[in-house]
Amino acid sequence: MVVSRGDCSIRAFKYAPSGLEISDDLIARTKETVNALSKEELMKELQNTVKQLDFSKKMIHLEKMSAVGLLTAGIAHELNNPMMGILNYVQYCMEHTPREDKRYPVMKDAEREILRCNSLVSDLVSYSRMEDTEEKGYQLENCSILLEQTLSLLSYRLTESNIQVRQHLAPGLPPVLMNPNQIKQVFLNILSNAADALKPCKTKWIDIRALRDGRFLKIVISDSGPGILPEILHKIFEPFFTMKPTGKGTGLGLSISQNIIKMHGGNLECRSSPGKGASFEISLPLSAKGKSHEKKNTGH
Amino acid sequence: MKKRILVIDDEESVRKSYALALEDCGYNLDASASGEEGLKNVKSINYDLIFLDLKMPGLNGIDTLYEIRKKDKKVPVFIVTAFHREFAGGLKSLQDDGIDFQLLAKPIGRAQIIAVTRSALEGLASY
Repeated sequence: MVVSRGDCSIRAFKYAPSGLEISDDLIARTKETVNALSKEELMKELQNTVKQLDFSKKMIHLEKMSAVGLLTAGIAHELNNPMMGILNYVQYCMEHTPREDKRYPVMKDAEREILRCNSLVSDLVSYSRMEDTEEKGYQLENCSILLEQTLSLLSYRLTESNIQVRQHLAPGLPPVLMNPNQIKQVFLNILSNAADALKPCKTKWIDIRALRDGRFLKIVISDSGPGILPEILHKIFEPFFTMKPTGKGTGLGLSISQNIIKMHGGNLECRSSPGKGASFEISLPLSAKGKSHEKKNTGH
Repeated sequence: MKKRILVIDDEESVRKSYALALEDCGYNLDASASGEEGLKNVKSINYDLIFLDLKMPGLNGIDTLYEIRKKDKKVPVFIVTAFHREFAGGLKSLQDDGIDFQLLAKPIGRAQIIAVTRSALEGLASY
C-alpha cells in the first residue's frame, strides 16, 4: 500500500510474483503520514483500507469461482464417458469372476472407487451450474413439505444410526418462492452432514426449527455433534473444504448450498463451538423483492 | 429371430460398455461411431432399440434423432448423455415436434443397461 505524504486518498497495491512489495522508504513515509494524522482520520483511513481489502478479497473469490465453474463444467462432463467405460469394464470382470476368487473383492473396490468419482463429478457439475440455473424452476413452495420429503429420503440412515429428529415448525408458515429441488438439496446436504457428524456421538439428535423472522423465513438445523473448531468455521463454505475422512466427502456440499441460498436472495450461516454441536441457519426472503433471479428479469 | 440393438456413440469405451453388458443377453448389437454412420445403419436395418449419444462431432444426437424418426417412428430411442442441460433447447424442440425419446444420464452401469434393454425389448418392468 502506498500512502503519499499528506494525502491519504491515493493508494495502490503493488504486487510482484512473490507477493506484496513494500520498500523501506515506503514504510518510513507511511509512518510519517500516520503520525501526522489525527485519531479520527486514522480510524477513517483504516476503515477505508479494510473496505478496499474486503472488496479485493471478494473480487479474487469471484474470479476463483468463475474459473472453477468453467474448468469443472468442461472436465466433469468429459469424464463421464471414460468413467462409463471403466465402470462397465470392471462390472464385466466382476460378472465373470467367482465371488470366492481373491480378485473379486479387488474389483469390487475398483467399482466403489469409480462410483465415488462419479459422485464427485456430479457434485462438480452441480457446482458449476449454480450460476446459470433456469428461473422457470421457481415456484411457491412450503418448506415444511420439502423438509418432510428430505427426511423421508434420509429416514433409513437416521433410523439406522439412532438419530432422533425433533421438529418445531411454527404454525401457518407462508410458502416461499423458490426452486424446490435446489432447496431440497440444501436440506439434504445439511442433514446429511449432521448425520455424519453424529456418528461418533453418544447423544444423537437433530433439531429443526422453522419460524417467520420479519421478511424472512428462518430454518435452523442444529445437531448434538462434536461441533466445529473456531479456526475452521469460516472455511466450511469454501469449495473443496471438508472435515470428512478421505473419500467420504467432496467438500462441495456446503459451498453448493450457500450458493443456492444466495441465489434465492437469502443467507446461510453456521454457528458452532467445539462440544456444543453445529447450527445451520437458513434465511429465505418471503417477499419476491429480494430475489436475485427477479432482479435479473428487470435487466439490471 | 434375435432382436437388434444399435448404439450410436463417438466414444469407443461407451460402445464397448453396451457390448460387454449385453454380451450374454441374446441380442444382436451394432455400434456406430457417429450420427452419420448410425443413420446409414438405420436406413438399412430395422432396429428394435437404439441407444444414442448427444454430443458427437458432425451430426449430434438431436439431428440424428430427427433423421431416425423420418425412417422409423416407433423404435424406442434412449438418449444417454451427460450433456442434457447443454442440449436442453434441442431436447425441448424434439418434444415440441412430437419426437419420442427417453433420457438416461451417463454414466450408466451394466445392471442399468441390461434392465433398460430388457424393459424396452421384453416389456419387463425391471427398472
